[in-house]
Amino acid sequence: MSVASGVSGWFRFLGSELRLVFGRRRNQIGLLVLAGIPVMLAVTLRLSGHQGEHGPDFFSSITSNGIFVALAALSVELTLFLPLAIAILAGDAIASEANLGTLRYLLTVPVPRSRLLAVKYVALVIGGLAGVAVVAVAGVVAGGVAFGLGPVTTLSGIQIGMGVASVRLLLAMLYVTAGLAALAAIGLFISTLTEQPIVAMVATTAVSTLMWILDAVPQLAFLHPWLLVHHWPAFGDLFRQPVFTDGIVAGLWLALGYAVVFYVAAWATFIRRDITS
Amino acid sequence: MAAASTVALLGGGAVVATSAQASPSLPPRTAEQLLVDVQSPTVQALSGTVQTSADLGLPALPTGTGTSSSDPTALLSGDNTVRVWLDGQDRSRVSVIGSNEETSIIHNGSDVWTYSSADRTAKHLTANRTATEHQPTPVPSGAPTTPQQAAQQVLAAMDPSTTVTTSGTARVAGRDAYELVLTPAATEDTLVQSVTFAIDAETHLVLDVTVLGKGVDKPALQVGYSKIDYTSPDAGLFTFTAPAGTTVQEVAPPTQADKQAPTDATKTDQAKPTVVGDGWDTVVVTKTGSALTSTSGTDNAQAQQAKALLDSLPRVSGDWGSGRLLTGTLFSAVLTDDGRVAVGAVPADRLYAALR
Repeated sequence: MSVASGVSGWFRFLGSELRLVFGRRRNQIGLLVLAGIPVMLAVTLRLSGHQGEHGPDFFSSITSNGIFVALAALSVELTLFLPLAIAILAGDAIASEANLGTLRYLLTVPVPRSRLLAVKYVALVIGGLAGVAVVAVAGVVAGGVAFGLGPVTTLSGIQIGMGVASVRLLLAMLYVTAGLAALAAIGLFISTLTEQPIVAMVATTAVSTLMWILDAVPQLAFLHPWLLVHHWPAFGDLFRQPVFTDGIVAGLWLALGYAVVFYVAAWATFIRRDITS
Repeated sequence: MAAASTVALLGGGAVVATSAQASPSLPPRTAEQLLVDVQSPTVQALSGTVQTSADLGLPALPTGTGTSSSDPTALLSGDNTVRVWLDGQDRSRVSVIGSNEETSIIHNGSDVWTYSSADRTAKHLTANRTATEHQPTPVPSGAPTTPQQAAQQVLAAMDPSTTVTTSGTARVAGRDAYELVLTPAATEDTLVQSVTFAIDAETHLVLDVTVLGKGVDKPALQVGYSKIDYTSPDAGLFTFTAPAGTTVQEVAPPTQADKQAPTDATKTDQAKPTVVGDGWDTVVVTKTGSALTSTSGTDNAQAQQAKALLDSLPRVSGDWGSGRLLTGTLFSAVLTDDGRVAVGAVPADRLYAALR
């Protein structure tokens, strides 16, 4: 098999996996739910007519510029909805197929198991990116309609143009996706351990929720830098002037570490696994 | 592998250097020379990131979640990050980094602006005094935001009986530094064990200040650069224009009382304080009246928080009267029922003596 046909085979495989992910009615509704939260935020704050009140995570800035709806929605959804979306996709990826018996048919195709796992993982990450993009785009659109767009006041009180702010929002989306990609590796690993998709979904959600809880306990401060979710809110550092990179760099390295460890663990489990049903 | 390549694609960047590293070899310098160096840094401009860590043994404030706040009083407890830009004598910007919020203090000539992103308010103060220190304006709580500022607060409180020694060299924020250790004399009845400065070998700027309390292993207070760069910051950082939608509040210039040794966040421009003793075991006694509920510059929620905090402190009494005692790793405070406050880096007994 030539390299070119190998690559095109890879993309064909990925394409059919993505069609599966985005074709599921449940996942489409999930994306609508993700989009619903920024819309709800924008509508509520618009109707209540309040001037931005005291609050972190961009809430106080929402009424000044629509782009903050996207940022506030991202920080809200990072605690539960986005991890939940990853957990559902991860449960589908291996455990659900094993449960339905379709994994066995997949494995009869002459494709190495490691490539099958890689395709599943890339599809998971793309699914995560899609979720983040839906939140951000819905936020900017809803926020733009409700509060307008224009020069953005950064957390430092210095204004930046809408163009620069859009680029930074894009970087923030990629950063959040990197964090979710690490969670996806954890989910993929759990998914290879069980044939019950619900177990994989609940366990993956539990992992992220547990990390958020631990992150909120001040007595465990020594543990916080090692919790995957601890650095997730650092996407907001892109909206300081000048950009503050310490938290983002730390978050990316940690995400990389989690992703590698759990992807390798998933691979080691998956290539040895007996697919019986 | 997909995992590595995907994340690496999004990542990039370098590992942040940690501050404590192997001791560099530097030409010897005496403690006296270093003490002179500290007073006259040769640099006028820098950009840096300061990490502060305070373990003062204070009761935990009910801040809610574990996320860090950018309120300057937050610098008095826990770990915090501050970004600092200095340019010359009278231009500085200090940003206290909170979790997706920020409080910036911009000092440019006679203008001092404070901007808080959490409540989108800006405070403007026009100071007509000439800047005499090579320092950013201290934040309202009096907490030091740069190691140089912390060092000057310590030196101001220093007594001739202090033993000054050097303990070798260190590397701080990638810079070679000398270490200067100040130890109170044995006769001083203080809670302070020692204060260590790390002084940049080239620029004489204080890069790190570590204060150890007596009988405590973990530093009670540490203020140090994790990153520093001696190039002139972008001039735009020192100009502040209140963005649209911001509430701007004009503040009256501070009185001389604001420049008192700021060891207590609740103590501001009250009646003239009485100073008992000198050096490390100085006790400052202030008449506050109903100060805790009407402290200037603090909002109502903060005052209520202070009240709740006060009620949680143990009651003490003696021949000096009665009140509530706050004991920390580095200082104690007594708030008497008749409205006096005694504060010092001393054990409680010494406060009682000062109140008699």
